[in-house]
Amino acid sequence: MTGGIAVVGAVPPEAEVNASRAQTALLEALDARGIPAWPVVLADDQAVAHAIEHADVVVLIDSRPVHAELARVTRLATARRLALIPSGYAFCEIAMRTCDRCPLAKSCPSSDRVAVHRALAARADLIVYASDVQRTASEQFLGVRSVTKIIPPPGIPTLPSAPISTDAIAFVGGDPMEWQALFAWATANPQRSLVIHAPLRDGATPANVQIAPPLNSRTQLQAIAAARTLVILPGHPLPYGIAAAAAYRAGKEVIANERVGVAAHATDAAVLDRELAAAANAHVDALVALAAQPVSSHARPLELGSVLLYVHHIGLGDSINFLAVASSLTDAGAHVTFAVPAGHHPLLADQLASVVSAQDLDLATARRAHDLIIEVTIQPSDAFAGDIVEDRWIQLALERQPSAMSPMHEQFLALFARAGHALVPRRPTIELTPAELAAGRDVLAGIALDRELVVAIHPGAGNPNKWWAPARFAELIAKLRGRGARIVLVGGANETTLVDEIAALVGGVDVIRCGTSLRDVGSVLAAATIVVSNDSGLMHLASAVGTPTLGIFGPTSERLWGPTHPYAMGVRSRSADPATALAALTADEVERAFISLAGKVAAEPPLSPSSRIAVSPRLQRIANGDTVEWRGRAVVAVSGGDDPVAPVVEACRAEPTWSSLVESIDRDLVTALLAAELIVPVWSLRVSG
Amino acid sequence: MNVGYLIEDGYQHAFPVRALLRVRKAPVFTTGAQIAARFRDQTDVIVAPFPKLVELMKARAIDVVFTTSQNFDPDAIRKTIPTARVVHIGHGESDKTHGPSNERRFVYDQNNRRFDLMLIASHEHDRLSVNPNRELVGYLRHDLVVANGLHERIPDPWILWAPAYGQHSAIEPWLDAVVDATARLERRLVIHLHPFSARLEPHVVRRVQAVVLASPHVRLARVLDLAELMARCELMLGDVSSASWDWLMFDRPIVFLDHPGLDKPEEKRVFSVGPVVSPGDDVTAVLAAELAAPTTRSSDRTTALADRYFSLDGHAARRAIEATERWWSERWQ
Repeated sequence: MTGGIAVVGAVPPEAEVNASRAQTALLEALDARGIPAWPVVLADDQAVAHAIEHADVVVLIDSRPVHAELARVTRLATARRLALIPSGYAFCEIAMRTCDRCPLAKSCPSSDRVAVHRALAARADLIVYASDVQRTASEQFLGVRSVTKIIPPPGIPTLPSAPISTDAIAFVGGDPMEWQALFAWATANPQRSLVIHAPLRDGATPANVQIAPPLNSRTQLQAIAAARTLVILPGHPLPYGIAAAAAYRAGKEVIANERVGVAAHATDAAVLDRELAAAANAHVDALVALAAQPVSSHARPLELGSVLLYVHHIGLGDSINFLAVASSLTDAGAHVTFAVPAGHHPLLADQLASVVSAQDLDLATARRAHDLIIEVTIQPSDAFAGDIVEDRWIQLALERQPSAMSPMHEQFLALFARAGHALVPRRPTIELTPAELAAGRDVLAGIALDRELVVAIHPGAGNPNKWWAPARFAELIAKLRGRGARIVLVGGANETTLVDEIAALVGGVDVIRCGTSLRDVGSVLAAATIVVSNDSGLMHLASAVGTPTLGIFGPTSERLWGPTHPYAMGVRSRSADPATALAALTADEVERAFISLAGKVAAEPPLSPSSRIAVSPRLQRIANGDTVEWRGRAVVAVSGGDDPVAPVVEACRAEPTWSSLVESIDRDLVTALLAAELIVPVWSLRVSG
Repeated sequence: MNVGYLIEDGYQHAFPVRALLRVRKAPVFTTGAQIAARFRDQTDVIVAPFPKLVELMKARAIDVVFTTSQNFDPDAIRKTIPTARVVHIGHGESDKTHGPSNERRFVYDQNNRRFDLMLIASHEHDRLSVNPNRELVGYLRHDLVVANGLHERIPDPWILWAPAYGQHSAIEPWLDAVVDATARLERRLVIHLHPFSARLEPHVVRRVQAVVLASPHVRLARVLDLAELMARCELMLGDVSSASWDWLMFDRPIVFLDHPGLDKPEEKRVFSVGPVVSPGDDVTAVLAAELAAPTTRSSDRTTALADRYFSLDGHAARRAIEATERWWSERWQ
């Protein structure tokens, strides 16, 4: 074996959750046999590309049911040899396989998720299930393959020794079926005493049941060790049941149903111990044998050729989001012509090669000149007129999304993923020129807003149904001013009346009237610290130019249409239906969301150069021998002679600007202390109260 | 007799009006922007929601409304225009024309009783209709096929699949096998989804779109008149869809895709004119055989077509207008 084995998981091994435990155990077993192997996090596109190019075998051990990962999962199909050792049910939208009770009402067999994983299973050179239970539950969706093996998962932990202090113990998430089964068991066994570790729940509890706080994976093992009996009665098929296996292996009484993988297989402690001891080697043997096989001939990436991405009858936010799709297509090797509404063209023209105005496009000629036509509209009936016969064409209707849980543009990548095109997700971004960014800062400086937390508020939206009430905005502005924010109202050319109404309600607020240039608007939004906006094109623009954005949602879903900046949020009333959600959303709810977002922004450089930095009021310095612990939100421990933290803290007592601080002291250190909240922007102190 | 043509949004509602416009010019009133765009070069077109359309008809003093839809209640039109006469012109086999003995909504519509006149294409629909105000005129789509010589065109090496929607659709059980078979036979597979699919079964649309993205020989078509697409294809994959009957006008091979969703014998009447494959069968071999000998079942097809439709002479539209004028002058005025 020359290239080694890449073990791909959704979370890094150091996360030490159940999913990463199997990854860690497999890597340790490979290492013990002297086989080069390394972990890869699925979201790390470069690491995935490296694994595909260099590894003899790529092992997918865990992926999560999020749409962004479908494209990445699809990429793995181009590996030389592919092994699947699933730790759960990644093909399931809710990762549970509770089909009879699933809100998707068994519509998922047609979903992108199942299609992608089915294709991956068809491509795989080896599939290892942990148990017959997992295999049966999976093959209905993924198909039956002859390359399948059943091997218990690696890394089943051994229980620590502990005196018995609990009679029976159980662990529950939110599955009502499991609650019912546990209560039924407790009721049928009144002489027993059952402790259930679970989130708090309402409702009556049998007298012999005690509810205790949830435990993490490590303390869970200690609790099982101290219990006489483990009760595990899930309502969905557990691929194996790590806790149950550990308890069986320790010779404890286990009350389990047929949905627990290990219970359906082997419960004798001695037999199980032998199998688990052999499991790690069995995995390694299977992978070594696979690495010795010839490389599959069908692992070829599909080519997209020339693509006309033609978006029309859509809003500014949709154009911005589809810029990310166009970029992903380009990254995948497609020659993309991105035709956008004429009004959006000046904003997008320099963001990607071949962005054209749909108005200026000779559509008939363009259709003939491209291998693939992707037409994007809000509704199916918005399609361009005329017969479509010769074109390789699809129409994507934004109102017909298959999932209500994932961002719209990622769902389109999922469509390509199910077709075998591995498009890497890109975040929608708009790059403005340095001169434009400077102009935006100058606009704010011109109204003396350069030294404070500047919150730009956009109270409009193309669709008036998305307008939060002006009076609520006025209430919010008063609250944010009370937290030290300087407010600027930003309105488009058609929103003068709305902006003036709010300005009149609050008084003394600065108003920036934007003309028709989206780039000018973008530069102002880029200069703000945070943008608060109704669900609108400007909300997406703010997010795309890199400003943390709080979107206010009502009739639309913040999951589908929310801003995509890493520090962006959507806020929506949870208590009302879409028709009344906006009216139900209070200024208090938006203020709470704002404080949460501001807290993230405060801890994440780069800050505005003029932001003043102070010592966090919750900073503690605890000396212990030759170690000093600086405690804020996180702990920074320093041992040995010099303490590099002390000079930074001392410097911040004079509240220097961010730029002067990082000029005089190592930027990485300052950044780390900011992330640990030992030091904070002055504005954040007032925001958090 | 001041005529207006009312067209519900949906391509299947367009072709009867296309045929009638060849005989009698009149404005088109439609609920669909796409339909409107397709008719603007032929006549005046008014596009609006249904209630508004009726008001606009009243403003234009329309007194005979031809409609392809059973979803627009004739009483709703007459409520605004009390003197209006509402004439139904069928758009195909999926017209909900069966009698009230079968109350399933998709085969019988109560609105049928309320049309002032029903102009009917097939003997079967004539037999099943309970509205005494009806006349057999023939099939308007056949007029267009004859007038434009569509049945005489040399087809491309394309295989057409125009599936039904819902449980009748063969897409779910058959898509992968058909894509594979057409690739093996080096034929282009042209899929024309049912107009309802986009609205009612977006997961089916998405599955087909994924196939288009994955398979260069597959096309997803969208046409106003399916007959024009049929003219370019050498074989069709059929199911319960009315498109299977339309295909017979071209006298070219058809292969039927059976599946558990077709659970009633009457849904398979047209299956007698071509080979029927069931899931698991070698569809590639069956397609290859039909393509190699396209005339083998010609007599079955032409006989079935002639048995079904009234007077396939290319003049159904003329008879429709004449019948309406007769009713206007003899009964309604």
